[in-house]
Amino acid sequence: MVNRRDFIRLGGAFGLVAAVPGEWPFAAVRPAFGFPGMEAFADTRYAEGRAFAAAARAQSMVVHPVGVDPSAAVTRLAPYARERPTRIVGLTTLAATVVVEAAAADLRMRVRYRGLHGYSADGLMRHELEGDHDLVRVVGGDLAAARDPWAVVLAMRLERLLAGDEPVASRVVEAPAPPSNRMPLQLVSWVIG
Amino acid sequence: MSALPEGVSAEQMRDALAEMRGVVGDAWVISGENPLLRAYRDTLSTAPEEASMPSAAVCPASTEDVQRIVVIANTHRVPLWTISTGKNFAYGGPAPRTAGQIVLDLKRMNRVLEVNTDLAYALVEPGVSYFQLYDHLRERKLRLWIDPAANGLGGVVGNTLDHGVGYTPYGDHLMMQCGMEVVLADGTLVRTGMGALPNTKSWQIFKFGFGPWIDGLFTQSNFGVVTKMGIWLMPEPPASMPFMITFEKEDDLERVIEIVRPLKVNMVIPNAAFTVDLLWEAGVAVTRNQYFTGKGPMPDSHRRKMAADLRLGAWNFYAALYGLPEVIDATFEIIRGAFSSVPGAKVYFEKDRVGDPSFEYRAQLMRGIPNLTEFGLLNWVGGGGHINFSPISPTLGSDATKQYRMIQKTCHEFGFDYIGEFAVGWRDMHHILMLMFDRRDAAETKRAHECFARLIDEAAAEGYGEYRTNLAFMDQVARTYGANGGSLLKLQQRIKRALDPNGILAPGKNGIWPLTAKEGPPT
Repeated sequence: MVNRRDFIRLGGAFGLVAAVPGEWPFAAVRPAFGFPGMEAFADTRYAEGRAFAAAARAQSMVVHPVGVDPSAAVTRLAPYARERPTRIVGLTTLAATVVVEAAAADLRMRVRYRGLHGYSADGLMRHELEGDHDLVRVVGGDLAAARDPWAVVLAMRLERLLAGDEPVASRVVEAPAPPSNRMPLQLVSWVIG
Repeated sequence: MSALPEGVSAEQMRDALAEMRGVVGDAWVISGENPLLRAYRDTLSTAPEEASMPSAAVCPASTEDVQRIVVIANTHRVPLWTISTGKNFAYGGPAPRTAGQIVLDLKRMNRVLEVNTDLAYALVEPGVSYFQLYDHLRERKLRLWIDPAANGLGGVVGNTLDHGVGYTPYGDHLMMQCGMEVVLADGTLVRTGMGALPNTKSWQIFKFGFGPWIDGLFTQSNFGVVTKMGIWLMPEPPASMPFMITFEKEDDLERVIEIVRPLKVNMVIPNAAFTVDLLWEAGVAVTRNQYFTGKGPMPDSHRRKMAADLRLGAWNFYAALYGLPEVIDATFEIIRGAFSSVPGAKVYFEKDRVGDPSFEYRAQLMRGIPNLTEFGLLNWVGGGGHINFSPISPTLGSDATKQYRMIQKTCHEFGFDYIGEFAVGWRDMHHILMLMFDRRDAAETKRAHECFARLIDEAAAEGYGEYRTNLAFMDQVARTYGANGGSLLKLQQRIKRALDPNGILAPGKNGIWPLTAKEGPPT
């Protein structure tokens, strides 16, 4: 599976790490590694969501953009849908997360991991993670030490996130906030399966 | 381990679940430490999640399964809490009234049994969502509209049974319901109205049949389990025109409602129209902290900035016209003329609000297209907490203003924003306050609970009652309907005793408790 070093190296090697002002770096390719057939949902209204989507796409995931109306993502999980995903990952608003979780419950899928990402009162990025013990330790450590944008850091850990078991442990970490493009709300990363 | 229902032993529960497994299979009885059981909690309201944690969920696939399950429940005296799709957000979701009740989850019964294009109706099972019925009609290219609630995940049957409303001319859902199949607590199967006639040709086209009309007894109640329901569908009109009129001042509400009433009562405006406050409209698209990061209700200066940025009014009226284009044009001139008497009123059509999520989702709903955009309000303060306070108001400007001022004052006193709307029915308005709070903040959640309880009592003191409420407040609301010594609730109790003597169906639903429960009705 791709790791952070590979991701940056490959993106850089192909000239695919974009440096668009106001945007976070992202890769725009589908290399032949990663998680083919797995599905990700990302709120592409926000830079964090777009970075997450691009990174997921770069790891061969099928990405469903989620905007102001999460209907398309939720209809994907309808009990009468012809194809059912087994495990899905997302970076969405709280509102979209609530309805995706509710819809997924009808497919007997449940939350395996959840992370709340927002600004603390002193301007730091605050990450509240719930997952299995290893997951919150590993991902929490990455986020605390990260110099890269947090959404990209999360996307670099898709393998670990997707392997999440039960959300029995929690961890809160704070890290420096990105310099610009403050998202106006809390975003939620999640794995459901 | 989840709690057992009051008065039920571990042995009773074990034996009942074992027999239920024999009906639906092991996979469809969720109990004990199964993590899937956690999906049946109410995770959005002010009550602690443990207060509504079921001991099990059982998922039948057919009416026959339901009949067998209620017989088992009666044998072992275990309570069942029925849900259809379980998406009754803000009112309790899939959770039972009290901890330990077994959720009777009808989501597997999700067949669209019939769609009649000539008579424009559908017969559906309780697990059919608005999305599903909409997709069913579109895939078959049937020119019929559904009337969805704002939550497209919601169930057609569940919403109707809870007296929900929609947005098209068929927005009064119970009025558009026609014929039910009901399993009683002893397993008896009843078809209501014309459905009681063997080989009937009219079950879904004439509501009343012969003798007393009893369908209403199975709404907001615990007298039976509805396993099929007819619903009328709206023939697709040749044209439709949603529109929005904004009003600058909070005080405009009284005049707006005075204008709306004759337009509705005379059916000039045919659909379930809405008068929506600024924050509800804004909250779909933006968050509170984009405009105000302080504590307490948002100050007027910030509200004005938000209104200007988003081209919204203090109040925003939404309605739609349907039919032949020339008739729509002529009718709209009547409406325009009526509202032009309000200084500062501005009229918008679809072309004027391209990219405005608030207008777009309401326009979709007024055309029978389900969506989930309104959930964006959950982002307003973050933290996910919300419960709806839903008093009925006469469609009179004086009452609307009185309710608005009363509720706004109490919300502000407790530090919350007023986020509300008035859904105009045939004569009444459903006044919906969406009380948003950060559920991660225990103190704020407690304040929201206290605020809600105060609102119920204040409204009742002025003669206003709620049409629907969250699980945690069902007893309090039921007590407000206490005229003549609480005779209505006592009558409901007598019906409950006659139909369900062991009290196995949804104990406590809407304040109706079986005699076996400690927490009984008011005397």
